[in-house]
Amino acid sequence: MSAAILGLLQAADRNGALVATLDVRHWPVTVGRALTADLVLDDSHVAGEHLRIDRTAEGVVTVQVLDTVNGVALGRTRHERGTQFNWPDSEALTLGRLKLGLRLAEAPIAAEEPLPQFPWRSVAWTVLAVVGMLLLVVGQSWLTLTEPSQLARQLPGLIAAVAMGIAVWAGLWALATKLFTHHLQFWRHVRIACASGLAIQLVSMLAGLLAFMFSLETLARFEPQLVLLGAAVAIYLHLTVIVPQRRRGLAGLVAGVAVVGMVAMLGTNWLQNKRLSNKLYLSNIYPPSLRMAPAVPVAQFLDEAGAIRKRLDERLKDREPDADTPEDPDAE
Amino acid sequence: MHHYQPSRPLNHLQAMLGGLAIVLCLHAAHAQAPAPAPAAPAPAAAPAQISRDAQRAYETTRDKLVQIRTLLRNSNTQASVGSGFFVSADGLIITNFHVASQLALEPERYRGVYVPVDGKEAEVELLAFDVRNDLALLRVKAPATGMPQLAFRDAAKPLGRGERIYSLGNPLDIGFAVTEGTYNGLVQRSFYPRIFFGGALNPGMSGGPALDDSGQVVGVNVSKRLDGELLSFLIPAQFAQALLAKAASAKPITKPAHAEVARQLGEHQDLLTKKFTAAPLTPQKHGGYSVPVPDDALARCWGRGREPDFKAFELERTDCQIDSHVFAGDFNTGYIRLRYEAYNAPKLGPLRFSAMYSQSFANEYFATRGSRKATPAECSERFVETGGMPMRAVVCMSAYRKLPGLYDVSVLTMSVNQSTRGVQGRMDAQGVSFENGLKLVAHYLGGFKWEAAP
Repeated sequence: MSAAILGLLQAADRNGALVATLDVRHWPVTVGRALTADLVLDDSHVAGEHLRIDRTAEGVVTVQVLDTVNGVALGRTRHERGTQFNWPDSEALTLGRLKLGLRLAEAPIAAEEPLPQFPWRSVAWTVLAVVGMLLLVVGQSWLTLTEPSQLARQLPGLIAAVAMGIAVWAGLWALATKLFTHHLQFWRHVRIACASGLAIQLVSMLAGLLAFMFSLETLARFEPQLVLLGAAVAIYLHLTVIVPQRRRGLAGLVAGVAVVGMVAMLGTNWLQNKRLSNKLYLSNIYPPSLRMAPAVPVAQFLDEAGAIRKRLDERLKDREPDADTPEDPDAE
Repeated sequence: MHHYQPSRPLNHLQAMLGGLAIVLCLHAAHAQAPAPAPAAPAPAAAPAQISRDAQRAYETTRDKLVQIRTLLRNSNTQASVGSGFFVSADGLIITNFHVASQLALEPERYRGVYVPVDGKEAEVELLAFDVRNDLALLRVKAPATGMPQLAFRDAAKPLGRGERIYSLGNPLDIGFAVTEGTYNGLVQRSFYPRIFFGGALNPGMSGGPALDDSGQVVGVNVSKRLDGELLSFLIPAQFAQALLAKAASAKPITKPAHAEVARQLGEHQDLLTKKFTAAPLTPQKHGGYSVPVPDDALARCWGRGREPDFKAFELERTDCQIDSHVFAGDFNTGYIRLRYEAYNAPKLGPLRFSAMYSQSFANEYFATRGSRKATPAECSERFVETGGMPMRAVVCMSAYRKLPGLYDVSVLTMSVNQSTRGVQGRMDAQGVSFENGLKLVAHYLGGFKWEAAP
């Protein structure tokens, strides 16, 4: 009874769910909210007669924008009312809050995708990350808990606490992910949490080691800020799971927050003590064989220490910290 | 330093040597707190404990004995109370500097009065002070003649150990009192001579006289130890005599005298630095390390080997202090303290040793924030080579805000030549000049040495 199908129009909402489809059996077809349209879309931002889609003899699909306030977007370009443009079939049109896609009958279809296999790789990575994190915790307690009985006593609790911590952290991110997408992605968040935890620790240890090796006091002093940067990267990675299509915006947002946090951190130190870091000196000691920086004679060390006097003179000019009572305001 | 567990041993150690002479200066607010039950008829009970001699000492001294109060000018409430005694017919009074320090440092906010045993309070003015010996010379403001006065015992006739002496004053603002005790010679290793008085001194008696049997002044009450019984200290009378001779006709102090306090502390720290650097420090051995400690005659050292709390490593501590504290207004200064922790942990291995050693290094306290008295610390750090070994060294200093030219100096050292053993050192010098501070640090750093095992 009917002509052959020339194409398939599909309208989807923002989450990718199909809201309407049309088997195209003749050209042109109209799209709009009115019931007279060929494809009827229930979206208040769509005009009664929004678009007319046609196909030329050469096979090019064209779109004519009809009487609409909002117009149509193809990729990043907007097309206003009364204009006409060619529509390459691979791209989706945006009208109102909906996406409109077109499949032509003669277009080749992609090969059948196999069903996803059990994600061995992901599982392997997850296991690796979690084991790495636990090893880090165990290693750190081994380093610092020098009494054997202490280690044995505290380790089970410590491991449980770390596992709980990761679970809660990843769980919260997973809930947020579920809110915005369809998946929990719990294990992915676990991987991110563990990997970034390891990386932050590694950076911090490396900073301490380099600071000791080459006597880089500044590196030791600003290690907390390095950790803050690491944490910002970790949060960015978690966020990209939630809204994968907004990587750039997220990067900007997280960088902005990190900058504000950094300024607040350094600014507080400055306001309190007129120095950017609260660490007065490098305190990481590593095995002596790792020291690369030269050891200077006492005389040279004291020569350099002489510079303290000028810095203290500067400090003496500042108002004292809790000068709640001015010294003698009304004496004579 | 090591603080894995809330280290009881260290606290104990500190209690042993840190509780140095606690000054008797008393603030009014403290005095009110432990009020005794009013029902107890204290005066009636007193004579039973006091011998006839004490009674006589009190009777002959009562008209020469006064209480000294510093009052806030605005509200007339008492800020501190102490004791004092007349030493001239025209109304000169000797007391402690720590009793009258507010008159020296903040004369615009405080005024001084004296209260005789039976009589009305009257104004006094501050003429001079000796910060190093904690003495002050006051004068009755209203012109006076023919005042009763106490005489000083002839310095050529020293007391014998065990002789009775009587200390007088007004403890805790309760009322005038006499306490009987013994003369025990001079305090060992005290930077300035102090008489060891085997008797009770209480807050408020500061500045009061201590008399011999014949009623002559042998010393001035100054302080006591809180960690012992009947361990009290007197300033020998000769220093009070010297101050009196020097300043009997001085003009009253009406402007804040920080510069004079700083000058006297300057003399003190010069002497202290000279004594400290006069001879090489004594080497003290810990394994292959030699660390410098001051001479036994100059400093008191406490040591402790093998902390029983730590099984995985050996730790020996040493804590030395030069008993040269000087009271300058509202804080203690003018002393040197040295501390060591020697670690030996072959069982731990290099990594765990480093972690432990770093933690001990990081635990050190410095004045990061500063205070009303001194600026925040400024530091300089380096790997330093001394005595055949490299050390990580940190020098931090902070400047006194109101005492120009005086600094607190700390130096912290960590040996970095052995992978599972090391020695951590720290020296603090309070209230020294910048140059002397560096001189002390140089002397200290020069005292370290490493001698490999034969």
